[in-house]
Amino acid sequence: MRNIILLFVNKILAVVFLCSAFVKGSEFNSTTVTVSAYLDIFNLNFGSEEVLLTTVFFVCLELLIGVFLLFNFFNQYTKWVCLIICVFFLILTYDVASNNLLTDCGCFGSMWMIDPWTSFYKNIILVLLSILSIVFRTIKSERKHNGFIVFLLFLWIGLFCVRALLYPAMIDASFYRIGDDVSVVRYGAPIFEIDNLNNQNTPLNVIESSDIDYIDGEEIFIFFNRRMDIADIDFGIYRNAISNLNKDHSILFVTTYVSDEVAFIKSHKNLYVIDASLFNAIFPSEFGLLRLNNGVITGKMDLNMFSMKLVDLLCVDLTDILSIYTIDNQIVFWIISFLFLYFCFVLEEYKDGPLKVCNYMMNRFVKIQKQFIRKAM
Amino acid sequence: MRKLIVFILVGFVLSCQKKDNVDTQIEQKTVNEIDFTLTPKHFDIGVISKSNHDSIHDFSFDILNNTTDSVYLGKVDVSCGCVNVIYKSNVIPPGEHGIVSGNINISNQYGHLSKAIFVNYDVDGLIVLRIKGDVKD
Repeated sequence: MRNIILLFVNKILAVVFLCSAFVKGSEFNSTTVTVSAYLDIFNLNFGSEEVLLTTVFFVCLELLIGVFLLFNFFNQYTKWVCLIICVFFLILTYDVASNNLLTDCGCFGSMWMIDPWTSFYKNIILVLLSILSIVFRTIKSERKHNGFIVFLLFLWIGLFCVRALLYPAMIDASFYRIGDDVSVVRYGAPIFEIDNLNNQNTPLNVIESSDIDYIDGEEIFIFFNRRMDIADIDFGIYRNAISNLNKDHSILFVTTYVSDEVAFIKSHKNLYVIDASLFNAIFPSEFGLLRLNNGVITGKMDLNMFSMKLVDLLCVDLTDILSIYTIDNQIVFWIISFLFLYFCFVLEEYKDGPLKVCNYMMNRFVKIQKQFIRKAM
Repeated sequence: MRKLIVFILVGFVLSCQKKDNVDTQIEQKTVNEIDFTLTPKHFDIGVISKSNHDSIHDFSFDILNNTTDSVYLGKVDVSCGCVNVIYKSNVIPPGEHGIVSGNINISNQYGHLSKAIFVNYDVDGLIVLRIKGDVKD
């Protein structure tokens, strides 16, 4: 009975942590925004890179706890870390819920929005399960871990994080998606309205219709920058990106805020400003790339500091990026990930089997090598 | 254990689909403002410094009914929780004015502001009012 309860509790915790990490990893940029919102609540002024690292840390931690609970690795430590994390989030969600600071806890990203009070009750259950898993812990439940499997799992977690950093959300949950016409009013959502900072006529064919600027004609790219002053980021990233762009495309720089100190940027005739809520309605990230054709979104990608720097470093043509980041590539990654976890599980469950296979293959290899040397002699 | 992995996979896929379904329910409406004269066209609250203690700013829109029929102004919705509309459902006779007023709380706003107020009228009509401004430190 004791063992059954332990198995049941462990696996529930593992599933919760893995699901949470998978969802957060699949829309990593959106998670970064949530983490940033939590940091803002406590007046922690982290830069974009620090927020990014904090997000990576939490996603990795959830993956590690989930995987280790699933495979029964390092039970003694994993369960205590799990309890500490659950208690930490219990206090955090109580503070957020009681003071009505956020509308969504961000536990499972934007794919499954949970209000802070529900999240608080969920965390109470998780804390209770964590206590149960420690109370019912037996010496037998501690499994001798296979170093090779642990290495493989760490490797997979590393790849998972790189994928999360590079790829935009698997499912676009925003108000403005590829194929949408930005001029259509979405009831209750921010209107797609961009204002030229300098009130100058742009080389673009901007139609003024009922005071809303809609973009007409040729394809254009728009860079968005959210939450931070455009001066805080390396403007070289933008310059290099532009130099790699097809010259046939016109570019608009769009940001939510420009400070008075950045005169050289303010004088840019293609600089536009938008409302931060609109930015959120388009991109769940710090930066974004949008391609419009007659007001219809034909390409879209959200970026973070890491992917933006990589674009800068590799001097990738942004037209290529929009075609590379397809949903098919992401689905392939998830399938490979699950197959990999399954492979690790099989290796772990049938430890002797694969080792025998390896030994056999090694012996065969040595024999072939000897035969080859004899023939050569 | 195999069932568990399948469960994670299915759970993940279902959670993805759930949000997708919710989003497809976004109502897309056609705005008809030709029948009305809005004064102002958009309310500009100007450049506001956060250092000012007054974080609540009032606004007011005058809607002139240019049609030959009375127009019933119905439900009002906003694109941001920061906008509070003080408004009573009323009927605007032809050539008469209706007022939509309220206030905007900028305490949690930063940068450029462009907030929409959606005023439903008659059966499926929609007027969009906009408040603009800039919030600085």
